[in-house]
Amino acid sequence: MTDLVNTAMNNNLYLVLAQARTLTAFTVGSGANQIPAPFSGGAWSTTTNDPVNDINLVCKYIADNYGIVPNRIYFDSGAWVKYQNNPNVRGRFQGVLVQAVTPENTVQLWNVPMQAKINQGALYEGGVFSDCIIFFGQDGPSQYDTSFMKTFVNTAGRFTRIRSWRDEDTSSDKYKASWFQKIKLTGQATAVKLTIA
Amino acid sequence: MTKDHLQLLTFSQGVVADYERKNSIGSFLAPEVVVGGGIYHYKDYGLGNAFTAIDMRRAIGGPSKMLHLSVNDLRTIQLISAYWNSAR
Repeated sequence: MTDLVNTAMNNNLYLVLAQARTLTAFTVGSGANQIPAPFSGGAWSTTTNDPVNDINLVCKYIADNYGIVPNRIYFDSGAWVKYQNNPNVRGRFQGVLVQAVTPENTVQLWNVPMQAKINQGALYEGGVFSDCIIFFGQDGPSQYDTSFMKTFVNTAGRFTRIRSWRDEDTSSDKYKASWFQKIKLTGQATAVKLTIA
Repeated sequence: MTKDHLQLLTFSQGVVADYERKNSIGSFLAPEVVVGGGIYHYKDYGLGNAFTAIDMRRAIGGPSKMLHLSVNDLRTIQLISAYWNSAR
């Protein structure tokens, strides 16, 4: 049953990420879904581009246009590696005893203190992606607040019924675990996706 | 003939909580919101102008101003997902 629930939750994570990735990736420019230079559009492998400045410009864009200050940032593992190894990020940590960029200490580089989470590789990301999503998510959300995404469920812990029966054709006891849920984008305006190259 | 398993149900809900603690990405992006029943209401802020500042001052005796949020009120029905396992 533990394996079954964990598999179900991994599949659920894929569904959440698939919906989050329906956001249009922002690029450099002055049109829709664009932010003017010096924004790099997420080209963080280019060592002259500055990811910290990109993130700060995205925060300013969301706040200027929608009046919401983002408080969370999500990195695919590939996006985090490019962020962590960019010399403009590493350069800000000169003089510290151990020059490591972590989700905890990099928060102080940004103009708003966002909580950072990094996914754990292709197995959990449902493929090879390199996205970074900056968004607003309320702690303890309701049906009515402006959080970027929500999973509406009928009960905490998701599952509402476990049934079993004997299937003699396959000489097996079969178990059916049911849950009700709906994953929804409820505040796209508060989120910006960058595809990191 | 089917059997309901209350103990397994409680156990499964606990495993969900364990999973969320270890791999909290799903709940970070799209946290659980418990709704009362199969049909429920929610607000979709979409790409609207949510909370930009509005000058609410008015002259003495002047007309009042109205705050406005661009938001869609929606209603939906929960869908059931089922996961299967068999023990041989």
